[in-house]
Amino acid sequence: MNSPQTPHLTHEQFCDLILACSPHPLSSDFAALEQHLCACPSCSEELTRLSRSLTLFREASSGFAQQQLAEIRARRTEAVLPAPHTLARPLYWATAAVLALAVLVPFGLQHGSARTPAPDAAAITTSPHTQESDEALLEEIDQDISASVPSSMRPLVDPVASTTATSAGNNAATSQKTAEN
Amino acid sequence: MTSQVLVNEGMSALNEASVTPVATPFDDLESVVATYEQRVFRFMLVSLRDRDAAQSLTQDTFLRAWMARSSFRGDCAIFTWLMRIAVNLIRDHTRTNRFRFWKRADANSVDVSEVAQHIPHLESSLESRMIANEQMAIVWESVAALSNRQRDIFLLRFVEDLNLSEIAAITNLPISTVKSHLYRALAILRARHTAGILPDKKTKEAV
Repeated sequence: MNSPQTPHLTHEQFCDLILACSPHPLSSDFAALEQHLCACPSCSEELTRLSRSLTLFREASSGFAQQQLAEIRARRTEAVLPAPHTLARPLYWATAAVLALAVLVPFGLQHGSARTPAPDAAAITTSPHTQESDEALLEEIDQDISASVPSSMRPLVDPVASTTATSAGNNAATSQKTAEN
Repeated sequence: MTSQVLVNEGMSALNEASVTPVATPFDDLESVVATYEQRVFRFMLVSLRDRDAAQSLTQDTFLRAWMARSSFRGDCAIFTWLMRIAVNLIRDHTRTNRFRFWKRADANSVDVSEVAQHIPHLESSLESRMIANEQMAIVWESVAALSNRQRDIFLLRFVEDLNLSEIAAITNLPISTVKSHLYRALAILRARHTAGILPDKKTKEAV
């Protein structure tokens, strides 16, 4: 214990009390130390303050480390799985819009072409004049086809009378067309 | 013939023992991490005062433990073995000049005011809060003034709450040496505590 020359605890005695370990070989037993603490407010106060400081240090360090580790774990989770709030980012929305357009536009075009209305029968009725000219044209084509020699090849069949025949033929065709019209 | 048979049997048993891996608690690394990560990280963070370094070295601790799991004999607790690795990693890390350079001004360095925010204030008065913050800050600054070995032992005792024999097993030092380091560390702390030295006044700002 404290010697008569030193009224207070030695540093080793003080440390043994702080460490709560068995008395140092140089120190006396804990009962004698506690007896001194009861009698000495200075040592008692210092021991209380130091013990409290160490406790505060431990609690604050633990709380701080716990918070930091929780943040690290949260970051790890975010790195593995994208958090829901990341959907608010413009890049995600732009990508989603492009994908939606890529899917919906071809579908819309196909759907639109399928719904295009068939031409109305009433809208394509032809006038009587057009119908007559069409019939005349078809008849002329029939004559050309039924002829043994096409009109364009006749000059080759009779080269001598080609000019007269051609002119006569042309006149006859013209008069026939006029009569039909 | 009998001796030959015994030799053969012994050889086959040896081969089986060498081939079959011995199961260790570190085979289930996930549960080991879940159980001890908090404490290993706390020790790293308070010792290094650097978030990134603490996180990195905590991961290294478990990685090394898993890689060397075959050498775990079970003659000490899992936490003791992990802390032995952690202490060695910290020693290697703090030896480098790079650490000393970046320690001066690093964005990841922990400020005492951040730690002081986690003091449980049971008392509501402002004065008691300020006193508590000052007391904690004195210890925080005193720990920074300790040598690496003293700091390791101090934190193992007063943060991790390990007894002297466990600290001796982790640091591979005799108990008497561990005690001597603690006496010196507490001498520094007492001197600062008595003088009321508070090098960093940020604690008051944190209040």
